[in-house]
Amino acid sequence: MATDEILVRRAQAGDMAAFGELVGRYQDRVYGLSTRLLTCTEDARDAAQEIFIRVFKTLPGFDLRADFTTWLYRVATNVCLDQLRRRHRERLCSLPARDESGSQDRLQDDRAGPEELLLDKERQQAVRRAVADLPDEYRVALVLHHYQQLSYRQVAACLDLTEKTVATRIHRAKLRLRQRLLLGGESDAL
Amino acid sequence: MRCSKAQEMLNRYLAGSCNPLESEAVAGHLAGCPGCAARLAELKDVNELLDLWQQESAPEDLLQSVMQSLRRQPQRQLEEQPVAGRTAMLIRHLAVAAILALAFTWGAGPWLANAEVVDANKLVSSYAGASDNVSKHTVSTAERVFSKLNYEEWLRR
Repeated sequence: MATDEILVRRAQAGDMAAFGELVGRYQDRVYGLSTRLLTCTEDARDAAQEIFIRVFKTLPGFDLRADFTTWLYRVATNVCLDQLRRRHRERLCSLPARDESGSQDRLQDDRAGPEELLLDKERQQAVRRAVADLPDEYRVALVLHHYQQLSYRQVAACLDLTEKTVATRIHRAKLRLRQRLLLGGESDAL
Repeated sequence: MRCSKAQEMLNRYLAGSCNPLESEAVAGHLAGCPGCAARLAELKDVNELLDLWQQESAPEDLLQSVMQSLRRQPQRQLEEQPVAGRTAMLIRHLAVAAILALAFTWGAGPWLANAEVVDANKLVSSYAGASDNVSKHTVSTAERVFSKLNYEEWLRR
């Protein structure tokens, strides 16, 4: 399997097939990021498409000495933040349509009864709402670290922040989630 | 270590992002502080709750949509290189032209010194013609590159 660097070099030279391979390699991660930042599958899909188009257009300027994944997440985060700025918070979709019959629910069919499934779904939706209601700067740091598995250093590089600021934002995000989901700060306590 | 400091570090501790000294300090504090140990347990619970929101796969047609969208983009727009790339290309072309000119000069000097006077006139003429060609190539390259230059983009940078 070709490395990212090889594919990026080929894509920079105009090789569409190589770029297609990069898209295939990263589409789940990019879509996962946009879903969690925008909390709406329709917006997330549009954002993911826009992210890859922007990546393609700016790829000739990408410095191969840099880490491609971090750069990709930086582009992706900027596109998502642009979208968030463009729309009102009220437009956030709290319950993505795909979730209604999502693969996760089907996977759990064998091991859980209907009540357990319902409880899991309620918990998941409470988590989604709680994450969606975090301030953007907290949510971005949390999502990049917890869901996209970026280290504090990578998140800092991605967002042009210091590691200390990233740590503070993630800390505060978790405190808010703890207050809301565990201590009954709002109606989503579990 | 104070509780406030320990609690600030708990997420990094859980994520394994602390250095060995920090990890040791936090672990030492947790061993003697039930309050912070309870906070750590809560953070683990928060992490488990966050994990309930599992990764969703990208829509099956996303790749196809992206590639179709790229093919629909105006070709000129896709092929357009950023200013940095075009400038670098210009510099490379100019450098090659300069090296060729220098090499030609250094090579032609001794050659001319050894030549007969009659033949030297011919050599000077051919040398001048070759130099003209190098200059024309350099100028045409510069024109070609600068004609594609987006000056607004250049000014923004």
